[in-house]
Amino acid sequence: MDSVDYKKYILLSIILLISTIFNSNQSILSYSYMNNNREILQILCVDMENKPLNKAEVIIKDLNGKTVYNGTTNSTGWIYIELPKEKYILKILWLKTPVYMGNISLTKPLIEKIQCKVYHLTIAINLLYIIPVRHAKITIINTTSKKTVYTYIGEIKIPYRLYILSAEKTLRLPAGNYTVIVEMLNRQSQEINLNKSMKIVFPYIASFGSLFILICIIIAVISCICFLITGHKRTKVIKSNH
Amino acid sequence: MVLIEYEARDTIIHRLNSLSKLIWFSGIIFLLTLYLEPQPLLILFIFELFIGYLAKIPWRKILARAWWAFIFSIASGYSISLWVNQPSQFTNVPKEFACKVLIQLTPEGTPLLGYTAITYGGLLWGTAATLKISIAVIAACILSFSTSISDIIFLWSRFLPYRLSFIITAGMRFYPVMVDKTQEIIIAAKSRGWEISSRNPVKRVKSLFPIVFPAIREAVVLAEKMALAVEARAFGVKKPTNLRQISFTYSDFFFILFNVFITGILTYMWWFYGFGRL
Repeated sequence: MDSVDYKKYILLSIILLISTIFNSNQSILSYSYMNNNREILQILCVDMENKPLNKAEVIIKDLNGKTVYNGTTNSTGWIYIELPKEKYILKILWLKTPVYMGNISLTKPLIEKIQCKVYHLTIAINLLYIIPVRHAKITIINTTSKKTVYTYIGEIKIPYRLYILSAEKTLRLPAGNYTVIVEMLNRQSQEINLNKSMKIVFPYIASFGSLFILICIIIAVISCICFLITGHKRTKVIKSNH
Repeated sequence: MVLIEYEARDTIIHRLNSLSKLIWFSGIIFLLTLYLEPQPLLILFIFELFIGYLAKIPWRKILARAWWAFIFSIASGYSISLWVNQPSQFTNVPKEFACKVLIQLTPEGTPLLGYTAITYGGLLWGTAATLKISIAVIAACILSFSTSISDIIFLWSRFLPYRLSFIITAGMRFYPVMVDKTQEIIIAAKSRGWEISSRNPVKRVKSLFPIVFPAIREAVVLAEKMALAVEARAFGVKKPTNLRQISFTYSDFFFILFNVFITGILTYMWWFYGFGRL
């Protein structure tokens, strides 16, 4: 191989090297060029149990109070926005109630995890603490604003537990004072101050199904007692005859 | 085949009529077919222990005679549970909990075995299977201990066609007779120097001939004698007359009521609450 061939190969290698470097940096270069005044803001909204809040309303305002963004989080609790480099006021709403408010300074790409004041409220509906009520109407009223924040009518699941049967509905509510009303054949309400995740039990709500089971249990217990009494009486009679 | 024979005792359960006890037994067997999860089976087990206590059942005797059934239930239940590891096998238990692998035994695609692992769901299923067999065995023992065969036969004769009832009766009645006869034949053969010493399976089978043939002969002779006796009593000419009546006491009534409602509650809870579903 002569020296001309060597030169050709060296030149070709240099061209390839330069093109590779250029290609790898092209996206970064173009991005910096196009967004030199804007940055990406990624926000993850979670509740107090660190569970993502999906469909939480996120409002971003500039320091003049002008809304620059208004949207909701995705199913994993994230929002991705591109905004000019500036300081902003971030507000997060859950069930139309503010659960977070704070400032953010967007000077570089920012990823923020925000823990909102949203607590888990588990409503257990069991007749006499032991018989689950599978259908009920649940209404939750904010005691302060007197507004109904949540209404549910339908089937209530009985989660699998090793030791208890209980019909439970878990909700995520902003911190505050609430009146929880549960209705089926009768109605029961409880006032709560939701400042931590909690479980409330409604032990006196009756449905046709739970009443049926209760009546069956009572009959079974009475018949068991009667069986034992009549059986023992007969034993005594037989023994006295002997 | 009965693991424990009837003993005439003066207990609440013994004095119940055979129909009440059969309803209790049927209820237990029906519920056992529903459940794949141990919670309700534990309730049934406690309920059964209570009935056994009332019947003053000899628990040690049951353990001595039915130990192999309990060992079999544990071995078979937990062995099959190795294949209970797919999310589609669970409806009530949370899938992420049920399919959590404790120890993987064979990976997916293993010839013949496939994917086997010890999972929480599998352990629940294995415990349920073990409990089911044990409960069924104990229930059968309580029934056979507290109800005489003649009572059971009498019940059958009330509900089954009398020819079928006769066949079942004959089978049950002559099972212990045939066992005794076979034992006699074995003792007689041993006295003549018969023994199974070879490890060769063909030779072992051949060495059983001196027992099997006399036993078959005895069975045929017995059947012939019975057929003659039955014919002499004009069996098959018309439906036989029942000589006994089922008498109900308050105790029977309450026992049946108790069982019907317990079975009803547990079935309702299985159907609507998923109680006992895996």
